[in-house]
Amino acid sequence: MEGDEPGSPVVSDDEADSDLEKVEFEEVGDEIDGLIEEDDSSSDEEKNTIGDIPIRWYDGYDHIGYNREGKQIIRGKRKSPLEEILDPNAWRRVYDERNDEELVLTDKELDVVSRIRAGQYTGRTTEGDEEIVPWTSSKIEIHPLPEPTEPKRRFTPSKHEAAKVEKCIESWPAYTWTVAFSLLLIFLRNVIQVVKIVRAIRAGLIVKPAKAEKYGNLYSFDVWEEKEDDEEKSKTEQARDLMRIHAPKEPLPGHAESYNPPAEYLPTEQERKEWEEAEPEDRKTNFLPTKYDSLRKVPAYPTFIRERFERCLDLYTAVRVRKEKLRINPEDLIPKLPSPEELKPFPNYVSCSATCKSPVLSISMHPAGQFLAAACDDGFVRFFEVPVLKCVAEWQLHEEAIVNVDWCPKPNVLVFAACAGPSVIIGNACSEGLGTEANAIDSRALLAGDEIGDNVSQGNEGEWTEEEDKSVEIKLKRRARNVAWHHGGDYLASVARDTTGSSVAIHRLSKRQSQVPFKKSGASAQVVSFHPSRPFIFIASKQHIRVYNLQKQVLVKKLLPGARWISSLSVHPSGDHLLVATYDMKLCWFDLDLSNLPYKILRNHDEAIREARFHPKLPLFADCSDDGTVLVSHGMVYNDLLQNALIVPLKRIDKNLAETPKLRATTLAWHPSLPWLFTSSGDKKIYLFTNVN
Amino acid sequence: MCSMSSYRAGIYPREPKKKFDGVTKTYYLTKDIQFLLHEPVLGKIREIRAYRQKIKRARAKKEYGTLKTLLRNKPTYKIDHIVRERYPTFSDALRDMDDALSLVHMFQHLPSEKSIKPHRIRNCERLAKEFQNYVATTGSLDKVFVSVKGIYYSARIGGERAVWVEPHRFTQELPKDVDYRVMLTFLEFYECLLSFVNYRLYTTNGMPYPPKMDPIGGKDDQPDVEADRAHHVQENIAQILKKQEADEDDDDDSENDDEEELQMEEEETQQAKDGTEGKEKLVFSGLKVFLGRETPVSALEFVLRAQGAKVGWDGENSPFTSDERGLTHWVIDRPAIPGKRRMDLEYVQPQWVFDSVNNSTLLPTSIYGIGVTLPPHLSPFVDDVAEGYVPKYKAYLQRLKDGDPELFKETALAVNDDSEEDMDDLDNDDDNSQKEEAESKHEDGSSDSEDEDEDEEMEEDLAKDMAEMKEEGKKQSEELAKLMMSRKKRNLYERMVHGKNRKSDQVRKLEERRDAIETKKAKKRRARSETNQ
Repeated sequence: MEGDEPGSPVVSDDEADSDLEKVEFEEVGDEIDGLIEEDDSSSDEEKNTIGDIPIRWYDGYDHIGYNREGKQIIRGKRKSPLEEILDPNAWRRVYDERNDEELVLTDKELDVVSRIRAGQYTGRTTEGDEEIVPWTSSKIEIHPLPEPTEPKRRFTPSKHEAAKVEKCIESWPAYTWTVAFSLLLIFLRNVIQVVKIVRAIRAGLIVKPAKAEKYGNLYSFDVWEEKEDDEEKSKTEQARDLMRIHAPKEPLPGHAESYNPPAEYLPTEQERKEWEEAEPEDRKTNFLPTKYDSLRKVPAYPTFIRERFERCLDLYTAVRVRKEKLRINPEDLIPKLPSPEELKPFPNYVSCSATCKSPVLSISMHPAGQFLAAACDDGFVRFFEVPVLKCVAEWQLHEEAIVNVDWCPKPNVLVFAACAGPSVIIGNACSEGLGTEANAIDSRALLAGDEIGDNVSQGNEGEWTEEEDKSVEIKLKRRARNVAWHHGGDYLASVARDTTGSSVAIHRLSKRQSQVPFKKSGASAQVVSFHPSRPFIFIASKQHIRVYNLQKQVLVKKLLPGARWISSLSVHPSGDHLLVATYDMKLCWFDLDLSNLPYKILRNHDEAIREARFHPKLPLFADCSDDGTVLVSHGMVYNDLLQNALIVPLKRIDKNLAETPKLRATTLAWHPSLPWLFTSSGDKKIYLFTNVN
Repeated sequence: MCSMSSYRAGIYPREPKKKFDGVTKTYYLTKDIQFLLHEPVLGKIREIRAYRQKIKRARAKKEYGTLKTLLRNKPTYKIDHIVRERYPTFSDALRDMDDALSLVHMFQHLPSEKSIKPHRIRNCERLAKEFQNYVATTGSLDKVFVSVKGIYYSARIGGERAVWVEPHRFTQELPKDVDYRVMLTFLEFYECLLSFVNYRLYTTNGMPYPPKMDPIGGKDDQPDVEADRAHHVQENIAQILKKQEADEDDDDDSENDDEEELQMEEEETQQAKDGTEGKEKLVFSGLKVFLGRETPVSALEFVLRAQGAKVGWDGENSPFTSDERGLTHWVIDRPAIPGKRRMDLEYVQPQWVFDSVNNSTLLPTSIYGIGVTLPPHLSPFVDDVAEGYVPKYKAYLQRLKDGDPELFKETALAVNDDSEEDMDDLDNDDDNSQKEEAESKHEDGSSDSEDEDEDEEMEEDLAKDMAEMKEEGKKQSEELAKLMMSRKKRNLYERMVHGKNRKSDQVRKLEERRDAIETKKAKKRRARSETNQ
């Protein structure tokens, strides 16, 4: 090639082009070498021995290196561009800068170049004509080829790197954060890791530790700065304020807690002992007043911490309840009632007393107001004339004690009914010389009754025997305890002492007939009473009062006094009110129009109430109790249905009797028109209370 | 739940109308519980719990580097929002300071223990000191009471009265049966509250916060407090004392005493003059007090400073020593004066300080002298009308304050019975006994004259009887009217009457005891005077 050098036709191309060519040649060097070897082996030899160094290093010299002999290769003269243009073979000339020679590409070489440019194999023999062996595509697989999915670690941050980062962060002194950062940059030198750290810091995963504030200085600012005292509270604040119950403040210490209290506050020996022996929760105060004559002698209080702790406990465990404190004078609670002075007359003093021969079990006042009948323990009924209480007659009705006596409510007759043993005896008092002739006639007429038919005697519950003009005796199957007249004076009812089964019997004097109408519900009856104007009967069992309509024979009402044992029953003259005395110290006032529950319950006595009675005319009632007192009350009933009855206790009669320290009043009776009250009891005494001003 | 509700302090059990889950359960408002659930601190507490486990793990794995970092970067929480929620305004907070102050004042005296960390105690100490300093500087302390439990202080701040109790200065023995966690939770809230209150109090009053705590008693910039009444009272007392002393001077023989009295008198007049000038307005203003070693120095210093005195004590940091010129009072709690008695000042027992503050006037020092049996120390918190019983010494002090001219005629020490034993006022005793005799004579005379006019008396008796009857009738009608009360009202009435009776019984008991004690003493006194004669 050396020989060709000067005279060989050199086709000069653009330098850039030739560079490009060269690069391409270099890349496919091996193959080309193989190709060229066959034709021109000598041309392949490198003349220049400078090695693989940029040729520009020789730019300043007139040679371009050294040949194998060690002689300089002098740079030849290049053709001018004009000459190159004129040369028809210029397009196939390539300038070898390194060896400073021009090569003329053969047709073969040109073909290779063009093939390479087209992206084909260099040799024509290696054209993609070979048979393709279908290694895999011959079979059609039903499953995809086992192309493994990308492992997760390709997508997640590297744990190894994370551990590395963490390690640096951990050993990162908080106080030199910036220094640490720069140090890290220097030491790590790993740009990726630094970028990761920066990203972590930006994402807030690495937080610069805040400088811990000193404990005491944590709250040195004005928490109420934006809120003035007079500023209105927000709605939630208001609501929470309303709901909040402030804890009560601790009670402030009194004189007794002083280290040097006044002598009167110091406990006595006994009090001290009591305090020491009591359980801590039972003590009235949690300390014992003690006197120290000097301040230096005061010791530590042993339960100081405990008390503070208990206060804390109270603050968060004690139930808080809003309690309305009553700011009332207790005297204001006493109802304002009309003064008893305004409600006169009422019996207030004993005007007269009489002694009976035997204990009195029951008394009854004649409706004409002249005679008082007293049922005595010895089987006598004794008659006293009012107002002097002189015993005008006595009549032995029975051998046994007379338990109850009741005058016939007709004022013109002097007929009474009494219970003794199993019999009810209706007596004519005129036969004992009482009353006028007119009274005697009327009484006899009443007692005689109608003609008695045979059919009436059938089904008669009582055995009627009579003594002409004097008395009628009804013998019952059971012992009687109570008798009550109907206002007509013909009927009377009796209650048996034995309360099992039907105990109420109704007797008709004119027909000499006895009936037991309440077969079942009459059981356990205690007292019985007729309505003063309507055909009603009140039957009190131990705990209830039943009101029956006798005409229709139906139960009208059942009253519930809420008592355990009713002792007595009194119907108001109007018939709309009922007074029920009970052994359990209650006195119940029923307003029949109002309810079947008591209108008023009066607990006036400390012991059982034996009897309570309305005055037949005046707005008065009285009740007597085992505690030895009689309470006279005003009980005004109004015609106006809207106005409830007015009840005013007027006088408690107990200590006005010098001779009997305790008046054991067990029975009482009112005068029919005057405000006079009679009481009697087992002590054989009968008292008359009148209205003394 | 428990600790949260105590933080919240506004959440506590309620009394439902019907206890659906039985009476043994505690019931809260659902709303309150919802409120707690939304509490930001709750999240923080959970975070701390998780963090604690991290620490535990690091410790177990012996990762000491991690452990160190973890321990350094512990998460914390703040509860200022709870304070703001609980006390929306500053005045709300002032209204509820009692418990906070008492607990903080207690904890500052507790020994540090496993659960009670020293930094908490230090913080309590700081807060208490700051608060006391504020009270002392503004002169808002109005009452002090030394009880067997501790010392009660009462201060008026922003129109609200704060009362707190500080235990006597002894090492507190920590009881075992107390749950300190509960108290510490409360304390945390109270510390926060007190910090805010202190900050606000200082900053709104133009004082620097945190304050520079200087142990020098008596500040120059005393705030102006209206105390005209106190001056008036002081004047009165000064006058009375002058008279009293004049009387006593006549009796006293020893020259030494005379001199002392004179000095006292001078001082009193000086004080009275000061009062009229109207410069000093606090009880102890202008006084220079020295505290003995055996006295409760911190309490006394606080009280005296709060009422305007300059205070020095026998110990460290004292602004002046006992040799200081111009000392007016020396507080001593010993049976006798140590060393030589100084003539230029007065020796008093500590109770004089407290009683003077409570009566807002300087009480006569003779009652509280060294070696003298002290008069009773009375609670300033007692409402006499509500209590119904007024101790004799209180009545005496009231008369002293009112300037009762009768007072100096009587023995000033009559109230202070025991002290008479040491004093030489036997003459007075004699006077008393003579007076008593005279009285009894007078009574006899009146009984003699009874026989003279019987008729008149009869009439009088009749009238009396009538009146009695009327009274009785009225009583009886009232008794009867009571029968008409409903059961509910009657029960209420009975309860009220019972309460009233119990109170009056208590008062009667106290009166009876006092009378018994007094008669005993009078007898003793008489016996003594007889033996002397």
